[in-house]
Amino acid sequence: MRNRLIILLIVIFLTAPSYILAGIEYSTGIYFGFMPSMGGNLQSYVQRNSLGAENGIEDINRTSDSSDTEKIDRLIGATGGIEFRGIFRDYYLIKLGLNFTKDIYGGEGKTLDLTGDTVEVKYSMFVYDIPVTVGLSIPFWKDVRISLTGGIAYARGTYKNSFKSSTLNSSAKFNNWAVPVVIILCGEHFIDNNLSLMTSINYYKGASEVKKSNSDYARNDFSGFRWNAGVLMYFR
Amino acid sequence: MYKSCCKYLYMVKNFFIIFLFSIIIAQPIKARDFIGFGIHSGLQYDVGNLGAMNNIDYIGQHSAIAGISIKIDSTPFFFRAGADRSIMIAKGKVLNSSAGKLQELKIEYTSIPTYAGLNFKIRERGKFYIGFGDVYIVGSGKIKTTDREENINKNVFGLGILTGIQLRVGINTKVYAEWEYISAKTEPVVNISTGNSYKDFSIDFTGHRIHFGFSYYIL
Amino acid sequence: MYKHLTISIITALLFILKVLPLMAIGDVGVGINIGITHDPNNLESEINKYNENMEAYKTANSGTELNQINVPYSPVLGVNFRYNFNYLLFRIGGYYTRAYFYKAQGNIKISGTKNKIKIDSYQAGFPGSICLLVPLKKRTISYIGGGMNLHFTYLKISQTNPGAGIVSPDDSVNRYSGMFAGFHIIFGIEFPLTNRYTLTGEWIHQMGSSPMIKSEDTADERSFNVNSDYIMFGINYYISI
Repeated sequence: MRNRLIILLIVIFLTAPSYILAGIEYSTGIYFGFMPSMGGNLQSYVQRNSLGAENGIEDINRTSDSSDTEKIDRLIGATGGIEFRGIFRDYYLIKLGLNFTKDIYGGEGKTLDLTGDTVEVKYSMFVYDIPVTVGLSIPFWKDVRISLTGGIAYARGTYKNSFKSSTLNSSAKFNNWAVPVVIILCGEHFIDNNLSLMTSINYYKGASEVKKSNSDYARNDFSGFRWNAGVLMYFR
Repeated sequence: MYKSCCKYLYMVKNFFIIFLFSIIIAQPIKARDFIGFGIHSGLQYDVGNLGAMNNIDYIGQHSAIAGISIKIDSTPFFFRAGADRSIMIAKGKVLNSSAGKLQELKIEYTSIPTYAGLNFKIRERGKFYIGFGDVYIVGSGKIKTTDREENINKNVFGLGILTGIQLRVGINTKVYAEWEYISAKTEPVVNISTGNSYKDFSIDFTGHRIHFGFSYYIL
Repeated sequence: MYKHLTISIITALLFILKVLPLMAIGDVGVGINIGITHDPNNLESEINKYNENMEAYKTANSGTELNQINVPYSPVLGVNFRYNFNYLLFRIGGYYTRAYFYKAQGNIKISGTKNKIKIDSYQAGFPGSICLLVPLKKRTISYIGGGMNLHFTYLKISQTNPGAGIVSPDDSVNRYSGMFAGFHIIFGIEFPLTNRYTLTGEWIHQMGSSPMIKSEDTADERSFNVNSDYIMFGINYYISI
């Protein structure tokens, strides 16, 4: 079902009727940004069953006065990508993007297990995704353009975790894909007729199936907000 | 002499009326649009972000927000700083033992955000902006468990994303509406799991806020 | 005296004329919109837990076959009434979402017996919003606002052969339905198609959780969490008043 949907969307994008294609304004852009919380809660079977953490990174942190612990922060990701856009009849927008996101901060520290023993914890994640979104784009004279698009993305990621203590030695790597729903709010400021500065807020919601890796089970969660800024070049 | 004084005062009065008339019908030469000070109020649902704790049954804490802001608009960029105070309207409650010993949250905080981003000026009508930044949060309040009620005081840095629109309603005055998302969480502050004494519940300031405000531009 | 009175009246009239654009009567519109959301009743973490249980059972019991439970994608269908007054937009709407095309269902075959697990849920909401809008020209606007929602939610979890402890509670059927209030934040853009018809795009972020709701079939009870985001596109018809 998912594969058919992706193929259908790509076919529609590539084979749009000629009268629409003839009136399309093409542009391409590059952007960079960040994602405040990558991977959702990074929950896995080992965390629930061996560490008693029902919500992954959201409740893995434990500390006491006599213990040597270190706060495990949420994964903050750096993201970047390129996109290709077509605007037809001035107001209708279709976009195809390619994004890469990698964690650059957080995800490491020390916590306690159910017996009070110290556990070294490590999370990391890398994602690439191809969003295809359609929507509306309003030009405000020739200065500004505001766009709101929605669609889906093909997202594939690698989620790694490891939990090491005197009684637990678990590490896992999950390579998985999903088709999250994507919503993108974007603003552009035109520097000249063909070049604009853009910034956007991207929302992804979706996760993969659960997969097994060593003795752990987890899904890759691609949900979260991203902020991007970059430039767009119009071919006029 | 009396007659010439009266005539003089009459001329002054006429001139004053004509001057006032001219001000009213004249167009403003240039509105101020560089530095503005604003005050706003807003709302946040689920302060403490209990919704991130999956599979728990809860009612989120509702809080009102009162804040001030300073915004510097240098097209196409903007810089915005401010201070927001969250005031609890209704406390957060866990409806059963799905979150261990946790029963109630009464959290208040002061946040000091600084944002930068792109400003999309819609000629003289208004602006739309999207930006990112960091936020310093000074949190306080009470957390009630089955054992006791714990006072908490914790500070934390977080990240934020902001989008907003501003509409000009006067020469130097604007109204604005903003949607703010912040991600920030403290280290554990209280114990909520049964059978253990370690602290395992953190104050999570992550969530969405809506602001409505009024700003006056001085430059 | 009459000269002063005349000047005062003219001055007052000019002041009123300056303010008058701010005192327009407004536009009333009615519209329909469609959109999409993912996991509107926030069942993903629960479904994930069941899937992990199934995979762990499969590892521990050779010969087990399974198909994991999907997390639903839901189309959204809505109507709305809107009133634009100067720089404010008042919007009342209603929407319905249910996973018709990509349902939450899976199965696990234990010792030759298949347990089909189905999770059927829908959500109906009635948001009321107040938004600040920036107008470009007549009916070309962008807006941000928020307001309250009234939610109706329904959930049915059914198993054809329970007993393996995959689903909690491990019953053959549990149905829950409830009504409760929530909140939302909305961002939208709108532009005219014709003199009276406009197109809108809206991003709605909604938040809310219910009190405990009892099952219609067993003694179990649970709460609903409706934190989710919707993207909706629609068409509106305006009547100027």
